Amino acid sequence: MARARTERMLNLLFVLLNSRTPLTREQIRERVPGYGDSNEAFERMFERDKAALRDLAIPVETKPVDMFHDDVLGYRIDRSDWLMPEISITAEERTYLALAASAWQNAQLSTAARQAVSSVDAREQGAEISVPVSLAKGRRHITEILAAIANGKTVVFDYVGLNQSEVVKRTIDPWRALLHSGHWYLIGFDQDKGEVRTFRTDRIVGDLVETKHDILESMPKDFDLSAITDTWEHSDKDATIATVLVRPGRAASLRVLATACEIGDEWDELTIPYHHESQLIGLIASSCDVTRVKSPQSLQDSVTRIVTTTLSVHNFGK
Amino acid sequence: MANDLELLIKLLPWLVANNGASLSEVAKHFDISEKHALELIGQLVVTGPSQAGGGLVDIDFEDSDSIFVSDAKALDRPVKLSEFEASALLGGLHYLEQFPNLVDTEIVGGLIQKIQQALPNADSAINVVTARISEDVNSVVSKAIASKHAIEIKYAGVTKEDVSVRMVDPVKIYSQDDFVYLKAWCQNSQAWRSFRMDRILEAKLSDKAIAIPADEEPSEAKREYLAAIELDKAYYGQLDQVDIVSFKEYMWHAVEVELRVYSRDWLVSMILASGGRVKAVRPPDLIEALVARASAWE
Repeated sequence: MARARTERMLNLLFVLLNSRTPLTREQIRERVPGYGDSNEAFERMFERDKAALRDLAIPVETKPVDMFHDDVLGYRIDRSDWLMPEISITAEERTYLALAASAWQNAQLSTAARQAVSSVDAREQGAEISVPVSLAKGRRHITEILAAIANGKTVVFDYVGLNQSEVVKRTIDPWRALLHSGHWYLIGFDQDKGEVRTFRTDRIVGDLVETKHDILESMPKDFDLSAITDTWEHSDKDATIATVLVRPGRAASLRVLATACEIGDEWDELTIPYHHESQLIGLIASSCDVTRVKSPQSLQDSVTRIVTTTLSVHNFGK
Repeated sequence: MANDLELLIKLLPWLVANNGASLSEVAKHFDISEKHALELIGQLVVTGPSQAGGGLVDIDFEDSDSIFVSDAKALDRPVKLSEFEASALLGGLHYLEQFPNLVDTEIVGGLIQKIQQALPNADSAINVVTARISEDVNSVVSKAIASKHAIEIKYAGVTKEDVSVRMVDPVKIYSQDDFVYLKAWCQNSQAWRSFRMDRILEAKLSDKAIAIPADEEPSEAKREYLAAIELDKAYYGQLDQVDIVSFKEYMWHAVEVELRVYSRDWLVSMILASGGRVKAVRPPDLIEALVARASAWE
């Protein structure tokens, strides 16, 4: 942008921001230098400047100048619409603001968070702090998901469900991002299924694309995410119980999930509540040389199926 | 587009908040050259419509060591957070709130409230549910770090999937995504190790002071095992957490990925859990280990 135009727009911004009442075009032309002598040039430049301000998300209001002349339009920027209210920040809080921003190991999110910090608290930060926290390092799609939620736009992506072999295209109204047990999830309204679904971001194939369409279904005000995550956890409610034998000192991930462990000479017997077979199949297959399923039979069969598949992929097996 | 204008909108409130800042501080904060910073400040000085009864901004910078703003009638506050910015900041704070062993969560909680009171529409689209850490383990580890004492831990290993008892010299606690780790010198293996706090099953405080060999610098565990696997492109995303060295595309969506991982055992586990979607390609000992483990299933 040419220097002259930057200067003119800055002046326009000050004038609109500093006025308590909407200003007519004539008043703006009088107060802001640089709009030239011809009416036509002024109209053209002013329209362009106004659009440019709105492009920067600056809320330029258009309103009748007074109640007697609703055909005469004026312009102003309402301070409280556009600028941050004063927030008093203590020195300790300032430290945590900086820490929250530095946790993001993702360029776009850390830039946005740092910008947010300097808006909440414009004072230059003091000493750096060194609590080592790190968030979303090397993870894909997080930025796109958060941007789409902020913009209120529908997203589309290809997805492979757990223990499914087909890639299915999904059209989702994004509501939330969730970090849970080492995985990032997108929670949103699935337009094809007509219900709320969760998607693990590492099962998204290729890109996640924000569409131009506003979301159809917005998140209910009282939306309770824990109602969904509770069924994933080790909560015993409505859970199926698996009895699994493991060699002493082995199969650590299964031991962590167990609610009871009976120590034996050759095998320890674990009691593990679960909601979906998929929570256990992979873990049991991973340690299949030191693990046996005592019950249920269906779990045993599923593990046998995937272990056999792995062997045959490598040209071994029965 | 309107780059300079955007910068000016941020610059003025920053100058108001940091009255007396030097030109080099301005350049550093906004990541621009000092020359560019000087031009921008120059623009602020000449701005101020004559009709409005004098300048709307009054800037004094006799020398570049201190810039004083004595009058910024309109643009004296920063612009409100965008939804994305609010999400990133509040998300980061919600994340910190999950770690009582790393931060003072009461202050963080108060800060979140303060921001949401000032900006009622600000929300974070991020939720974090961290792995549960036993309170006993937490308090023993924290005490041991503070008093510099060794601890005995019973640990459910992640890469080898074994449960072991070790004596370790704890040094610090840190987070990576939703896991909290303990960095410690492991006396059994005579090396630095990171232990996931949620997988420490038991911890006992010993009466021995920590004794870390002086010449041992804390080093990160290395991804030293080089291997190649083949998989459908559709599952490529699941390799989020490995070091990818190279990859080749084949027909029918297949890709061969060369990667570096911490251990062969971990890679064998990953391949078995995939249930046939991932195929080991090389080295031969990877395939041998995989087949040996899979053949032991009954």
